[in-house]
Amino acid sequence: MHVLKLFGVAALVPLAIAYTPFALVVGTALAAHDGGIVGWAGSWLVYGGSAQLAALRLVDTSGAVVAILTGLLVNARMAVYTASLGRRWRTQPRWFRLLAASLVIDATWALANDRPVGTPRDERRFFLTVGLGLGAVWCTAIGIGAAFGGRLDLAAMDVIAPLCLVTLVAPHLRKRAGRATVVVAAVVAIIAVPRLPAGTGLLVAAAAGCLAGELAGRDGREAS
Amino acid sequence: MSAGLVVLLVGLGSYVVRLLPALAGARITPRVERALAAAGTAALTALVAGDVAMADSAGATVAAAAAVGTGIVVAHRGGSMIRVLLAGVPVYVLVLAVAG
Repeated sequence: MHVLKLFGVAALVPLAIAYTPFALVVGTALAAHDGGIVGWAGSWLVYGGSAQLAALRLVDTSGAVVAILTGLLVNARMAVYTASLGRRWRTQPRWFRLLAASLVIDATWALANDRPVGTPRDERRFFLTVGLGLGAVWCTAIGIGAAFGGRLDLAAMDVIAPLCLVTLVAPHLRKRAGRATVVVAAVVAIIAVPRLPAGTGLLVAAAAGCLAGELAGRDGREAS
Repeated sequence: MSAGLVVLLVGLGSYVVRLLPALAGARITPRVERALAAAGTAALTALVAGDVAMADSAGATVAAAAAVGTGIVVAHRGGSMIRVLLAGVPVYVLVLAVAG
């Protein structure tokens, strides 16, 4: 059991089970947009279902530029994660930092960050097991979703992707700044998306949500 | 541009976003940290709300809004993605059958 913990296998299994359904949805979306092998290969680099799903949903309606910008916006938080792990990895060799950076997502960051600092070798062994293991499961499930999901023709397919994204957004409603971000972004999107040229409504809504969150957070900090 | 190429470009950009702070060991100020975190939340919210607003018909809009509302309640209470889907999809199908 100690060996499984040390190598990160014990942490990997529940994560892999939890992420598989989402990966199947992403794979189905990839097939629906004819993402092909290039899109599947890109999944290794995106390594974030929300960013990939966001880009895929926008590519037909809003164009490639908006789809790419939105995908990058969604993944922008990864910079915060790698900055915090970068301080922890200062003594690690460059090859490890080059590889490990591509494996940082919410879950792998949380696991690595919560772990007591060990020897550099233990850190590498743990992070690479979790990151590469989850990445392999993730991309395999996307491949399965892409291969078989496209054959499904259910009315509910239209709502599955938004529901997956809702799961990621809802926890932010617990904090004042998060609530302001979500409410303002949603209201502005409902008004702006149907009226503004393709994709710009979404970017306007995202910017408005960011601004509202910053203002609400500032008010909250000043009050406390 | 094909969807596959878009995903690849998002992937390359995401790698750069991840790599630079890891290599530099950079310190990100709390303000930038909040802005980066909020950007993702705002973009995802706008995407979901835009999907609801741009549904194929009025009935589909009502059904999607009902499903997303149900999903928010379940997720806000700590429900997993699978639970959100199990709660939201039947609501969508039912409302679509009635209102669609």
